[in-house]
Amino acid sequence: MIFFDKHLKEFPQIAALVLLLLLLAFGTVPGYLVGRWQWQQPQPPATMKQLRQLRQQGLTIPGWQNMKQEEMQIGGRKWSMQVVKKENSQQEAILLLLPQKDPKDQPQVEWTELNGWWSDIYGWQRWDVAQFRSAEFSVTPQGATNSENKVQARFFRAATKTQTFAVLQWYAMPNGGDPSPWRWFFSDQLAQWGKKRTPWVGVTILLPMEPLGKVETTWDEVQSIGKAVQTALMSSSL
Amino acid sequence: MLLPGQVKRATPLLQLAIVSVLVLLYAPILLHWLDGWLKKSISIEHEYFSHGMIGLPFAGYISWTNRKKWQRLPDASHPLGFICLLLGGIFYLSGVSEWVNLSLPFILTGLCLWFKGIAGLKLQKFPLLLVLLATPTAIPYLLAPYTLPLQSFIAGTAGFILNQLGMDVTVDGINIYVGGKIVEVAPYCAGLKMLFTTLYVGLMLLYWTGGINSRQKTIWFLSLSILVSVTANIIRNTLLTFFHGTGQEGAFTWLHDSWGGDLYSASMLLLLIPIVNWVDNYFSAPMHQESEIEKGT
Repeated sequence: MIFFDKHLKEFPQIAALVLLLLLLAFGTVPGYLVGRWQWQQPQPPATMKQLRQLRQQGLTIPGWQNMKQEEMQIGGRKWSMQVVKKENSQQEAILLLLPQKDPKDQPQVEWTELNGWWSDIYGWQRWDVAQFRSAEFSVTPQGATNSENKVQARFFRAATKTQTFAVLQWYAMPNGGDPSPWRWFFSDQLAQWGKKRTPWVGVTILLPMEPLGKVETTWDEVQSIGKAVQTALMSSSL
Repeated sequence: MLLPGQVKRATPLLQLAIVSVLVLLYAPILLHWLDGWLKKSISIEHEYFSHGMIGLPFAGYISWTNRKKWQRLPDASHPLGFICLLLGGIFYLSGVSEWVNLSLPFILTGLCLWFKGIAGLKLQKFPLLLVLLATPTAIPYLLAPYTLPLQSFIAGTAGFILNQLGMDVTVDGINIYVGGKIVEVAPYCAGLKMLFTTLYVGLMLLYWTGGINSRQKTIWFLSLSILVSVTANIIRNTLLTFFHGTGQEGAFTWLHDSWGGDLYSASMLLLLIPIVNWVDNYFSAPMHQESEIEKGT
């Protein structure tokens, strides 16, 4: 008791020292021993291999036929570009996918970049964006009956001199999608606390439509491709 | 059994132990930041905080000059201090980069509150602010989606200037078309890094000149700094577009990726010194002088 009385004045210092020593023992010493720290290199998402394959080989969508697939440089990044055709129909669409490249790769609001570089690739003029709105749809993953995954997306009409498209864009994640990197960021931070990661794939769907028409008329069709793509991504790569 | 004299001497030993453990805890992290800032090998968001290379030593220096005042403060433990320490500890153990970084200001603030209470926090508030603002976080990443208006403004102004100089330039949103080439004003060209650095160095200058104690001086100087920073960034983007458009790729790379950019930022920061002196003199002018001027007009 005498010992405690004499050291009562120093209790805050001793408590702080004990806490810092605990941090040192459990947080730092393992790093000093191995020579590298956990915070230096985040671990890769569980599906890193599938994400790499996705960029090289494209996505297989049930009910849609792959006509063409290639890797394409847009802005500083490599996308997978594929042309798909609906089975038993003449409906075609272009699907651009940007899968996460490595553990440190983050979505960087590619949407403006995509618009700007489009002209470089095809020699077309830039997209003339009109009738922009945010859209929402949900998908039910295979095997799950009562869980719904919400996808928020950008939906608009993009017109060039030669062609008009209905465009749907979002970042796909295992639990849904969003056009802003914010939702991915917070989901990924949360996952990292549990020693996991949230993988992501940037998605842009281009559906040819009547020149300078009303984009709303294509919504049902666009939504059904959007659902098919999100479901296929969730079961194959995310 | 301990003699009273020995108990007294135990405190400096405890303090030394605490400082040593802190150094061991954060040396790898600080070295990682320094290495990343010097070699630009850290992530692009964390590079925004490279002003920490001058800010963190300055914070250390201020704390060191405050050490006598610190020792004279009566011991007082604020419970918030323990909460800060605990949160900082949890962040540290998470192993997640963003949160491990954030643990540093949390632990330091916690120690101030836990040892010397609110008075301790007040004494160390400026160095703590310098540490917090130099701690690499994801804030620039989260801001990037919202810089589009700034990017368009820079592209528009740069295009206008080049048009005035007789160049054939078209601006569309964030893209500048010049001589058959496109220059894109990307989110990370919006000048946020320069703005952050300017404000940070501005705070240091205000502290150094004592201007920080006057709200008027602080507001005026920081507003002028923002103006200088935004103007400098527009000029930089104009020069970049000019170099790219006239095919001077060497000059473009020098100013865009190499030490030209650093030299440009450093020159702009030097410009802050005459501005802080001017603000300091202008608002320190004795009151009667001001009223005389008023009478004269």
